[in-house]
Parts: sequence; C-alpha cells; structure tokens
Amino acid sequence: MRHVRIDTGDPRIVVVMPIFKHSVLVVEAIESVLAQETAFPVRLLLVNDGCPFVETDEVCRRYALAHPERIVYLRKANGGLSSARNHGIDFGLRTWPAAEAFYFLDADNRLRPPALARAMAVLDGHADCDWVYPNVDMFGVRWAGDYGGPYSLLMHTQMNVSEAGSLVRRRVFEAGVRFDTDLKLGYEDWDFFLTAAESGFRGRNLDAFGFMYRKRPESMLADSHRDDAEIRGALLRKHKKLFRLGSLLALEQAEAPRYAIHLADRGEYLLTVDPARGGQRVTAREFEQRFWAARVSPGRHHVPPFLIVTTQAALDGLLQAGVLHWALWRLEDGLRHQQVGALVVESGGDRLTVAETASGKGRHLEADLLMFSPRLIQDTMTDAQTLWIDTFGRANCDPSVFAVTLGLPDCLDADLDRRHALAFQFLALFHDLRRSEFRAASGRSWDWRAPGLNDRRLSHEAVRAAVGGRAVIPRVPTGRNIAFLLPVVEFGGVEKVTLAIAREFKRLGWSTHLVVLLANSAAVTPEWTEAFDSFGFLCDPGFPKWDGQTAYEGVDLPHWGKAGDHDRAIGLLGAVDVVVNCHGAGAHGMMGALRRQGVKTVASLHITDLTTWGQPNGHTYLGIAYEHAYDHFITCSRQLADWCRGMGIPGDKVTAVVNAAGYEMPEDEIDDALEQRFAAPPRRRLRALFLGRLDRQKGLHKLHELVAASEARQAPWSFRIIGKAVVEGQDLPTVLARRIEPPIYDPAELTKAYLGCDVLLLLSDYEGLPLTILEAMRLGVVVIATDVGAVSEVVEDGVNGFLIPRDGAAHAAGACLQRLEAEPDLIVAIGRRAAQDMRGRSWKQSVGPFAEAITASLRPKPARRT
Amino acid sequence: MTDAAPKVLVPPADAAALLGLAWPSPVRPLALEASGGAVRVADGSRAAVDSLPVNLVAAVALSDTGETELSVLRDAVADRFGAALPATERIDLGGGPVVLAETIVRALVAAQRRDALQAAALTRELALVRASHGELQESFRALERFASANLKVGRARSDEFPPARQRVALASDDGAALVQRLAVSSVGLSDVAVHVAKLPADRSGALEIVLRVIESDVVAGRWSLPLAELTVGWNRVGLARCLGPDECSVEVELRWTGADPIALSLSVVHPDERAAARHGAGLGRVLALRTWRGLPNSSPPAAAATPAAEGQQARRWTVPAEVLAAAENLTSVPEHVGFNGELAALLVHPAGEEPTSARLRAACPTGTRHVWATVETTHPDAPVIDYALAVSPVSDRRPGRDIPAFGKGYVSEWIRVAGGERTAVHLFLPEALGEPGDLYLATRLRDSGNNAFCWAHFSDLGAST
Repeated sequence: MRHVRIDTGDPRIVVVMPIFKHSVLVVEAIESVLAQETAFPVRLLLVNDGCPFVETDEVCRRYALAHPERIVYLRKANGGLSSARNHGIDFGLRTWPAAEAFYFLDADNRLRPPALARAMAVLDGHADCDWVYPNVDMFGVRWAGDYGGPYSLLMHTQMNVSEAGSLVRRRVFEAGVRFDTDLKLGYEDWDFFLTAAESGFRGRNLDAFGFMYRKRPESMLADSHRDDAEIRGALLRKHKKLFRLGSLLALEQAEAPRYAIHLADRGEYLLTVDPARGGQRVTAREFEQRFWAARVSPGRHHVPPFLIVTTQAALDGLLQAGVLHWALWRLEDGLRHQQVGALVVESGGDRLTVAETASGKGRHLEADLLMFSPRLIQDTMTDAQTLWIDTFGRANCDPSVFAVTLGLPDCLDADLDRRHALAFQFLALFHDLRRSEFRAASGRSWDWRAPGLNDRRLSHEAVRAAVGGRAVIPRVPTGRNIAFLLPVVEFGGVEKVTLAIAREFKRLGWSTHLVVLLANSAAVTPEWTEAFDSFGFLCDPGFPKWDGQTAYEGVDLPHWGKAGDHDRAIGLLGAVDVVVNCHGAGAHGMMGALRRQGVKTVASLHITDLTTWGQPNGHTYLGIAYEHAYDHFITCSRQLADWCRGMGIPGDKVTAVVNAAGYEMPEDEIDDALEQRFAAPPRRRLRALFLGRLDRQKGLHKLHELVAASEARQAPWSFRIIGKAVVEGQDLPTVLARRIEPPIYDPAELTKAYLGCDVLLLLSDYEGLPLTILEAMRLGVVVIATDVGAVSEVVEDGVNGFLIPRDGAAHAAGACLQRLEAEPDLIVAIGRRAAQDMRGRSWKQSVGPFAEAITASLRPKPARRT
Repeated sequence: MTDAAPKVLVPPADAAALLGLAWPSPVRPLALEASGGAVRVADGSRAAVDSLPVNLVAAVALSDTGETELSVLRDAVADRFGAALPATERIDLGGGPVVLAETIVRALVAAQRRDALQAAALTRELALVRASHGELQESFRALERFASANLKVGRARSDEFPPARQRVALASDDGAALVQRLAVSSVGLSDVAVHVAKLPADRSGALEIVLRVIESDVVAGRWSLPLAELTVGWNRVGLARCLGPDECSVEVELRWTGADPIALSLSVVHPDERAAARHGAGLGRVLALRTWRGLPNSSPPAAAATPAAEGQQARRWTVPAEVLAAAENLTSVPEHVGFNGELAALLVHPAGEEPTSARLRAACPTGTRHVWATVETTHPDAPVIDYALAVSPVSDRRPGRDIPAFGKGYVSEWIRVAGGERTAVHLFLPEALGEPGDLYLATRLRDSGNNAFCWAHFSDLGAST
C-alpha cells in the first residue's frame, strides 16, 4: 500500500540538499524527494552554497515557489559541502523543533520513493539506532555495494562505511556533532560519522534503502581516493583517541573477536580477543554456522580469524600466571611466517623462561595451546582432500609449526589440564567444520551487490593497521595500565627500583606489566609476581645490536633504536597508558612512535656509566638524545634530576623519584631491629660487609686492596663479601674469592645480613643512589662509601656515615674502619643518625608525586566541538 | 513554509514613507538593513534574517540615503547569502502612488519575460528530447526485429537452487507468506519457477505467487495458479516484459489457499538467514527455485505453458526444451518419439504412411492464433518425410494415446522435407484459442517402405496471438 503524502504540520524528516554547480541534475534530486511516499510530513531544505550559476538560483526559487509548503530555499556564501550541510542542519533545528531526523541528499543523487519512510521505520523500530545508512546503488557508472551486516565502528576506522545519504536522528546534532568544514578533500561524511560514533552514537544499515548515488568516472569521491593518505592522516589526527590501540582493542573485543578458542575440556568455543574479559561462548553448531556464513558473505558476517585449541584450565592457568596475553601475542606474531603456533608450558624452576623454535614440529603434539593461522584454516577448509592437514596428527607433520616453550617459575606455576591431545582435538573439529551442511551454500554468490565492506574475517587488521600490520597483544585495557621495560631481570639496582615503583603503582590501582627486552629468562621471585600483573619478553634477537655508526653528542646510539622492528614492539606495548623505559637502550628509539600512539612515555634514569677510559656515558645520555620522545623523566636522585635539567631536559618533564630501601620493612620491625642493634655497645670486633654485584663498577680492586691491606696488618675487623659475579668466569683475587658468599635475595635474609654487620663498604667507581646504602642505613649500619653519583645526597660525611674520595678509597676506608674500631660510640651515634635519616623514606613517598603527575596527564581534555 | 508572496525591498531610511503606502496585494514591502555583517529586518525586532525571500521582485529607494543603504545591504547579502539583490530603482513619489505601482509592474513584467524565456527554452529542450526519444524507439524497433530474426534472444535460465529432500508445507491459515529473496538482481528478470514436492490430497486451492521488487516496493508480477495447473516438479510463471535495467533486489512471496497444505521443495541449508527462505521465521534453507532473464525491458517470447502474470498478456511464446522433453508419445513404439537434447529438438520418427504423433500438453496458450515449428530431416539418406502440426483445446484431450478429432483449420498441411533438409511448418488457426491447447506433432512417409534414417525433428516451436 502506498503511503499518503502529508504536506502540512511540522516535518518528521528534514532533507538537507546542498547545491553547488548542479543546476540541472538537482531537479532529479528534488523530484525524488517530492515523490517520497511517507505517511508523515517531510521538508526539503535546498541550500545554495554560493553556486555561481544563475540557473541554480532560478531552479531552486522556482521549486520553492511551486512547493512553498514542502520546500525551503536557503542561500549562503560558498563554504563547501560540510558548511552547506551544517547550514541546513542549524536552520532545520531552529525552525522545526519537532523534526526528528535529518537526511542528506546531494544534488546529483536520487532517492527511490519508499526510501525515507523505510529509513524512518528503522529509527522508529530501533531506539538504539542513531543513524540509518544505505547500501550504495550507483548509477552513471553502475556499481552496487553491500554495506550490510551489523554496524562496526572498528571497521569504520578503516573505511567509509556510512554514506552521507543517511538518515540521522536529531539528538546527534543536538549533541553538537557537525560536518567538519576544514575537510574539503572529501570523506567529510566519514569524519562526521566517526565523530558521532565517538560521542556514543551508533548506525544501522538498511539493506534496501533506495539510495542512488551518481557515480562519474571522475567524481569527488575519486578525488578523495587520490588524496586518501592525506585524508586518512587527518582523520587519524582528529580522532586520536578512537585510533588508539586500547580503543581499537575494546572495539575488537565487542564487535569482532579475534580468536575462536575451542575449549577441549568444555566442548565449546570462546569467541574473544582477551580471555580475561570474557567473550561469547557458543556451541560447535553455532560456530559452524558463523564460520560458513562468514565464508559465504565475508562483508556481512564475522568469524574470528584465528582458531585456538586449548582448555579452559590452560587459559585460567596462564592468565593467573600473568603470561596469557603475552603468549597469545607471541604465537600470533610467530604465525606471520608459520602456519601453526604451539605453546608448551613447563616448570622453569626459579626462573621465568622462554625458548622458541621456528621448526617446532613434534612439539605441537605436547602443546598446551595451539593457534592456527587464518590462511591455513581458510585454505584447507575447501581443499579437495585433507591428506595434508591430516598429517597434523603426527610428529613430522606437513604444516609448519612455531613452538614456544614457556618455563614458569615455581611461584607462577599453573595447574594445566593436560588430558587432552590438542592436535587430535583440532583434527576432529576441523573435519566437523568441513562436513558441515552449511558448506553447501559456499562457492557461489548470494547477493547481486558486490561486497562494499572489507572482509570482516580480517577485522583484526584494523587493529594491526596502527602498528604496520604486526600482531597486537590481545589485552583489552581496563583502568590504568603501566608497562616497565627492563633489559634483564636479575637482582640489580635498576631492577629493584623498577620493582619498587611498580609495586607502588599497583597499590594505586594500576595494572602493571613487565617486559624483558634483552634476555629470554628472568629471575621472577614472589616479590615480582606480587608487583606485576603480567610478564612478557620482547624476544627480538636484533635488540642487543650496537653498530657504532651513529652517535649523539659523542654517545653511541643502539642500532635497534634506529632501525629495529619497532612496529612489532609497539604491538606488544602500545595498548597501555604509560611505558617506563628502565634502561632499555634500544627502546629509546621507539618511544616517539609509542607517544604518537597516545602512550605516555617515561625514561627512568639511575646512573651515568663510565666507558673503559672513564668517559661519562650510558642511559642518562641516551635519555638526553631522545628527550623529545619522552613525556617524563624520573630519576633515582635529586642530583640526577638536576643534572637532567642542566643537560637540557625541560624542568617540567623531570621528577625525582628518589630511591628508598629496596625491600619493605614495617616500622615496628625496624624499631625492633634498631633496639636490638643499639641495646648494648658492640662487643665483638668490627664487622664490615660488602653486598652487591661483583663487577668493575663496584670498585672491586679497591675492595681487594682494602681487604688485602687489612689482612696484612691483621686489622681487628672482619669482612663479609656477599654477591655474584655478573660476568661469568671473571677472575677475582683470591683474597676476595675465598670470602665470597652467594647472593641473597630474600628480604629476611638481607635484614639478617645487615643486622650482622656494623659497617657497609661500597667503594664504587660510579653509582646512582645505591639501594644497599639506604637499606643498611635504615638498620643503623655505618656506611663507608665513595663519593660518587648521588651517594652524597644521603650520606653526610661523619654525620650519618662516611664519604670517601674515589681515588685512594681503600686507604680512606681503612682509616674509617680504624677510627670506628677505636671509637665504638661513634658507631652507635652514626648508626642512630643514619637510621633516623632514613626514617620515613619510602617508595610511597617517592613515587607519589610522579604518579599524580602522570595520572593528571592522562585525564581527558575537554572535547573540542567540530 | 516558504512565503511565496512577491516582495519589494525598501531601505530603512525610506521605510516610513514607503510602508505607509497602499501596496497592491499580494505584493509586500520588506525593509532590511545590514548590521555588523548580518542582515536584519529593519523594524523594532531587528531580527536576523535566516533566508532571503524567494520571490524578491524589486528594490526601490526614495532617497540618496536609501540608495546607499541598499548598496551596503547588497554587499552584506552577497557575503552572507552568496546571492544578488534586484537592481535598485530610484523612484520619486512626487508623481503619486502610481509611480510605485508602475515600478512593481515593470519588475513583474520583467520577471514574467524571464520566466517566459526559460519556459520556451525548456519547451525547446523537451522537443529535442522527444525527437531523440522517437529516434531511439525506431532504432530499438529495428534492433528488436533484427534480433528476433537473426538471434536466439529469449529467456535464458539464470539461476537455480535445486530441490533437496526437505520441504516446507504451505497452508491457507499460515498467516505469513513464504518469502525467498533472490540471489540475483532484478535486471532482465523474466520468469521464476518453484518446485512442488507434493500436491494436496483434496485437489483444491491455488498457489499465489508475488514477485516483488524490494527497493522500489513494486509488485512486478502476481499469479494465482489453481491446483489443476500445478504439477509435482517445477512450476514456472513468467512476466510479459523482462524487468528493466534498474538494478534492484527481488523477492518471491508464496501463499496457498487450499484446505490441505501443499508441499514445496527446499534447497540447500544456508548459514545466513537473509539468504534463506522465511515462513514467519527463518527456515534455514533456501527455497528450491529457478529464474530466467532476458534483455531488460524487452518482451521476448514467453515459454509456452507458462502462466502470464495478472494483467499481463504475452503475444508470442516458445515451447521450452523441458516441454519438448515431456512430449507424450502417441505411438506404441517408445523409440519413435524422443527428445534430442543436443539439437534441442523432438524426434518424431515416421513408421510408414500412417502418421507418427507426439503431444505437447498445453503448449499453445490461450489466445493463440499462429503456431509454427522448424522441421528437419537430419540424415541426408532419409527418404522424403511429411511433417504437420495440429492444435486441440485441452478440454478435448482424450485419455491414453487417442487423438482427438481436430476442428477445421486446426491441422496444418503436410510439408514435404527431403533428407538432410529443413524448413518450417506454420498453422494459422481460424480463431484465437479460448483456452490452452495441446500441440500435436506428426510425421509420415509419403511412400510406405524403408524408414531407415528417418530422423525427423521438430524444433524452435512457437506460437503467437
């Protein structure tokens, strides 16, 4: 039944028609609006955008006079398509307060008679729909494009999904959304709908809308394609928040899950990006239908591109261990060149380890998780025979296998369900999919329109586009996320400081992530698992490379920083809010790119190294070289903060996060320990302790000199040397070697060691602000340390410890020991003062201002209206 | 609403004098002023003007100040609206109010002249288009005649969803129609066929078929096929004219009116509900369906025995291959009648001087006046064979192999064809058929004798009104 046209009353729909140089074709457009079969009033706003053709004005005036009850003619100075549309919108909003929706029809396009009634019915039937967009049926150059299927904002970030010829609810404009008048190269409609979507509005496709687009061999849209890169760049800059990896991941999770995870222990599929965020659980039958629907109509239907076979127990275990996201990322990354990724989980003893092999055939039979490349599944599903894929059931299979063996330390060990032979589970589900009755519909076209949308099975590419097509870690961020980059995780000072800062951020409610850049093995103790929510490795063999070819003000720059695979690393890191580079030399080079992703970048600086010949060098200098790529610099001492400002880093970027003791002790325990120490004067002979890495930096030759001299004159003090040689096979003088005790990592044991000594010796050649000094002072130990780095920031000579010159340190240290031996009360006085000076010094206090600053910088800025 | 009344623009300086005059209805004065880049109504409200009047016929000033104001306004209007105002007419009211009336009349006459010129230009352009349209029609007619004489341009099968074992029952009280969206576009669509799996037992009812063009919401064809005209298997309906070049989606709607349900065949399972048939809810399978298409907007011969849509009437028909293939052998020798798929022809092998006959059921639609066939003796060594056509109303059909008594003028002459030769047989009926007619094809030998190599074939059978 045809609708009856009603010309009186306030319109439900206002059609805005911008006109510029279409003085003749506009008649077809106008007539197509006048011919609309609606049961409600429609008004047509003709907006003459300063068209220089007199004929345009004549035609418009004539129509306005002929149909005064249906057409309003507006004239304006030329301002472009967006300006003309906005002019019509503003006029319509003012003039017809009851108008419910606006439709945009360009002057050379047409509508079929039922179009507006049909589109309005969609708005009426779907309260959550904010605009109705059409399939595009082109005339002139004929082409018809199917833009159907659920609206996907993720896909909209990659392509212009909604034609301007859409019916848009009034509320969108009342929220301030308008066409951007700065965009004059085209795609202003793309920008408009992205802006609307960013404001929370959503569209809906109407299959048989009845919109007809005049396509010329050379049209404005064709111009848009010519300027594609420029326009896309402009969109990316304008919608920065939307294009951030975190936003894209959230959209991917909601609209187009990347993984179909077959859970062998549950007999169901979990469709998700981030298993920690749940997902959709479907039966095998439902998955079959989705799989084949996506195969038949890839533009309309989505099915996750990556098939994973594992168990719920394995997912839970890996998630609990904080390695699930990284493992999925690593396998997906590996599938760039391989067909199957196999994850095998083992015990790593006291370490978290990763071992990879590009030729992992055989390992797949013992895998805890298998990931299959999209290509493998799609290609083999319609192979005439299955002989090739059926070899997957044997060790020497035909598909290429990339195997990752993850060694979990005891503190992370997960209880994985290993009763399921996953390779055979895969073959069973694969054959079920092939045998599906839905398969009969494949292999022919079911729609006369060509697919207008990208293949939804490749939706993950929309996320990858931000990182040059590389895999993006499937962690959908919630709350605040901060990642710390460390070259190695052993027991060095930088690691301990990082651990302490991470712990504070976690206490503040942040999610904390650790990425090890250089090593494939990390000493992850319970302290680390408490401080970090997740762990990962960069696993890039090119990372350690230095080529010595480029230097910044005399400091060599690492090769990876200039030409490393940054996209891959950004895929691992780009979805967090903050990345803190804790002396990852090559990582300085990717900070600029991370920053462009909207990530706040932080350089954590601790120490200025010395070259073999004594030239200052290292991370502090690299930080200066890449200063422009960082939002913040944090330093372990005030002295280093001053140095940074002095070297040209803007003061507003620099925050001193001064070191505190490397491990925590409750105040009452400290009080007890001090009471025990100072209850009575020392009765034994003076006990000196060296605690730290046994390497050149720590002034081992001076320590040797001191110990040897003390032995020679049978001095009345003892030495205890605790630590580990960093460089394997390093020859230590016998006098030291025979005293060396293994390193201590356990806080209780460390406390015991400090309480068992009177003096801490640290005769380093260079330092930052050593944690051992702070820990020792906290427990009333008298520190004798060389005056290097920021040691003087805490040690006041003769007051709370002894500062000795670097040159002649052994002799000076001996003199100090001699004096202390002679003046036992001095030990107590200095020890008490040291403990007092350390009182209240905590990581919470240190990290607080920085955490506040970084949190403030992440707060969204007031939105700018288009 | 657009205010269509003619307006005359007056400057603020002269407004008092001009607005006080008696203006000829429906002409109205309008005082506007430029202020701070905006255009405002020059009255107490000083309201900003959103849009210029569409029927501004003149601008008049009484004073130098007024002229200057209009000049400033002209610039402001150009900036704000990108539009030009009518030229300012300086008038002197010393000549009395008639001066204003004369000015308005001059402006309206000028506007009338402009409109007349435009109307004449449009009329001339329309004449050119009409002439061009006439030429196009002539060219198309010539093209159509050429194509029908030289090319086999007809209705070609374009798509098929073959029947599976699964079926859907249609009942008269279903409420919702059975709907199947076609995978092909509307362009050139001419025929569709649905596959009946089982006819109802009570022998009553009709299958109603609607072919709907979705985007334009137009019913392209509507059919009501009584049970008597339905067969188990494919049932084809056709449009008199193929759908035009405007590419749209098409769907087929089916309803059944009988007391007992009819069963239609379904085709493949489809994972996408949009492509599968709907019968209230989605059926998960595609309806078994065939479609044909021809040259868009043309009227190629319809397939004989294919019901025309309501309100449409074909004028030419062809006998499609499937009807030839279903020919009834009216002899006792099975191999004397047979369909040759390669030649798309029906073999009616003569046995002697007595005719060998085959019957094509309902091959001549109602309204038929002229029937023809190409006849060919395909073997050069065959003796001379006689060929003939005959038509008899369906209601006169006799059971078994009995041949009805043909009315006068309903049997053609015997046409002689030597071995290896071909020609055509035509039968002009004395009056149009009032109901569908069965077509009989017959051959015989002029002389009784050896009938070796008597490969007598009928092909390209057709009918017209």
